[in-house]
Amino acid sequence: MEKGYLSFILHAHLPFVRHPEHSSFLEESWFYEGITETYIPLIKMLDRLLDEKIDFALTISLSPTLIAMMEDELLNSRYKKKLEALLELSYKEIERTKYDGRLNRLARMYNEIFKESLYIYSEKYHCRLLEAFKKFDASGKIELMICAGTHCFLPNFQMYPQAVRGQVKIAVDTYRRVFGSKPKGMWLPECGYYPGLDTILNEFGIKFFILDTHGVLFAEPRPRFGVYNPYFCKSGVSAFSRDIESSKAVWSAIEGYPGDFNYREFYRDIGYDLDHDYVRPYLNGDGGRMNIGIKYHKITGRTNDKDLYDPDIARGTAASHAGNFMFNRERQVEYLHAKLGRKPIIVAPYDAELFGHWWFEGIDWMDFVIRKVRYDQKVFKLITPIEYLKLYDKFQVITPSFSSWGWKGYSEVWLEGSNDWIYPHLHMMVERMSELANRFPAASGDLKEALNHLARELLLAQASDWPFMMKTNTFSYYACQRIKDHIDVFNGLYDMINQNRIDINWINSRRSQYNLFPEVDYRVYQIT
Amino acid sequence: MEGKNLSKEQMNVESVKFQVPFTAEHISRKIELPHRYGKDRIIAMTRDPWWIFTYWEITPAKEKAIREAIEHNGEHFEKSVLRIYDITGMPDFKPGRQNSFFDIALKDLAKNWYVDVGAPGRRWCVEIGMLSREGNFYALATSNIINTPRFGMSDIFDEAWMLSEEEYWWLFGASGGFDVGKSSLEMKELFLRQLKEWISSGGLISLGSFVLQKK
Repeated sequence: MEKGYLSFILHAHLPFVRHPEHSSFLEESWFYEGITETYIPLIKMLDRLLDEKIDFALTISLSPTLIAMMEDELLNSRYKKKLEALLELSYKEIERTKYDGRLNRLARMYNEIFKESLYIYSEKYHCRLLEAFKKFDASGKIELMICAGTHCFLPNFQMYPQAVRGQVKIAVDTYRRVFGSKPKGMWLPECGYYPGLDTILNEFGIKFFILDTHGVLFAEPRPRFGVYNPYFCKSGVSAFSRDIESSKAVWSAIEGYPGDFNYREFYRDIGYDLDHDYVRPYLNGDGGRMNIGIKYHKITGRTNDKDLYDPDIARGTAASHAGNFMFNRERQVEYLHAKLGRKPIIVAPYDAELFGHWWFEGIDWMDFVIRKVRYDQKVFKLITPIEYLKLYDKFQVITPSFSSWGWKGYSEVWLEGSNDWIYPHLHMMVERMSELANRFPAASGDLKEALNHLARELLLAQASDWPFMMKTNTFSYYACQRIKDHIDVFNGLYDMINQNRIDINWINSRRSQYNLFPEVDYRVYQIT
Repeated sequence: MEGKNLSKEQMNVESVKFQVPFTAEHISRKIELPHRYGKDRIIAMTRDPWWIFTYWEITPAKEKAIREAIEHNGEHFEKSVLRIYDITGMPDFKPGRQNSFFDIALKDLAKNWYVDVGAPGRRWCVEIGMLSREGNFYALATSNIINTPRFGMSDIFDEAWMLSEEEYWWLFGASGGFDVGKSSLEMKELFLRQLKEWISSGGLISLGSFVLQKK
């Protein structure tokens, strides 16, 4: 009989980026890279585990904006062309490298990967990756979670409960439309929690969420099981919290596995390394150099002189890291089981895009962990949060502490000098949204369309990605433009509604660009 | 030190999602956002256990009305201030009923302020207002109520779920990422040292830095 459990939680999210007005749009490549390097390899791994009837458990959170992009015809057709182009380039690479055995082998590896990806994408799932997740959801082994609407950092909106409600409701409604059932778990963006948030989750039938470690350690009253057990909030929603030890092993490039010298180097890519004219057709429309996704080098060491990548050695390293991870969890579970007096759950949440995209071998690693846990030991099993809740009749009731998993543990990443200017606008948008929702409690026709679209612009402006990008100075120009655009359009539309001059054609053209959230309902912003 | 900090590393890894080089092709239209919305308001936000953020907008009409009120009372305007009230233990803010307050003198053009309240686990309300030379405070706007979170373990125990002090320390140490093979005493020392370091480093907190202590 097992003495405890490990719960892997993968959170997949990208902000909604879709620009039909440009034939090729750079920031859309976040989505395309995500599909090629993370989502398809993940689907491939899960399909294989299910086909082989391996006993396992995994939880996956999909953000509503990512779901919307996965559903979108335009992005799907653009992605398919991208992937076909990559495949074409990989054939050219086989030819180009034919006199260099080691390089040629790598070129063939990418060719195989892209061929298989194209098969999985267009033949197996008909350019509809959500079909795969629907199948997983029905398998009983994979639990899907939803994430708040546009990945809004909710603590920064706690003074406006209706704004938080808007983010939660659109998430639940999206999930229900796509997967046909109510979500049980909600991923709080950036694990951002404040006392009272659980009450809103409870209104929408959410059963559990995930906190960072100090959210539970600093809870009141003192938590009896540390982070190794879920707790009930007074609202009845349960909170799980992250284990630092297993987090560090995967997140840290310095102390963790992904920094191993045998793994593939993320920053060496033929998009930069090869002759510009040769790679130009595979870059963005304007020809600026960027990652293409064909990388031939390994991390090698703290040097710029990188050696060629060896996939066999890298795979062996991933297997041995998986063994190490399993061994450490066994030891942790043995100790905790003896001390706690109940079976511990070790919660290990990660960004899904960490695997495959950032850590190329990460998916292989996870595959190894899942198989080893099943066949090579008996100390612990994999479990989903919702299954763990069925194991015991009673859990302690606590009030978790305000917390996030961001740098410094609270709000600072999304509230500091580079991005604090957004809040006077965003909060005013919420006030205006509620003002109109109260004034028009049962709008119909064009007015209803206008109010619903107003809510959509508010949601899009609230994404935590924009202040995050300003803070880390990655693509902050795009982030500033995006948020300004949503604020400006919102304010224009607000005036339009107030002055009773709704231009439905203009709204429709805006909607054709931001075509997500067909189920949005402005009435959620009503306040009494 | 920074490179070893888990949440900082995590932030670096997360930003890799958006690792695409800069080009000129973006939303190109020039957007000028409103500088004011014509509504008197002050909003308070919690940044961490020690700091709060507040921003405000005061209409010229409101400012004029309060200046007139000061004059009407035969007093003289001295300066604009933020008044930060500690209302811990109270559900609402009622002027005069606070535990304590302190003022921050504002420069003319300030529209927001990061306030070092320096006290985790407290409840706060902020007012922007004018102070008269005679020492009276005239409020222009009152903020929402916010809480700074506790920093450290709660002193409140749940009788149905008790552990010995020793067991708690072991568990918190283990939860904080220290090796499970350590004794309660070692765990306690490591954990307390870590909390102390956070505080002495000016409140830089990240649970990820727990792991620095691990041998």
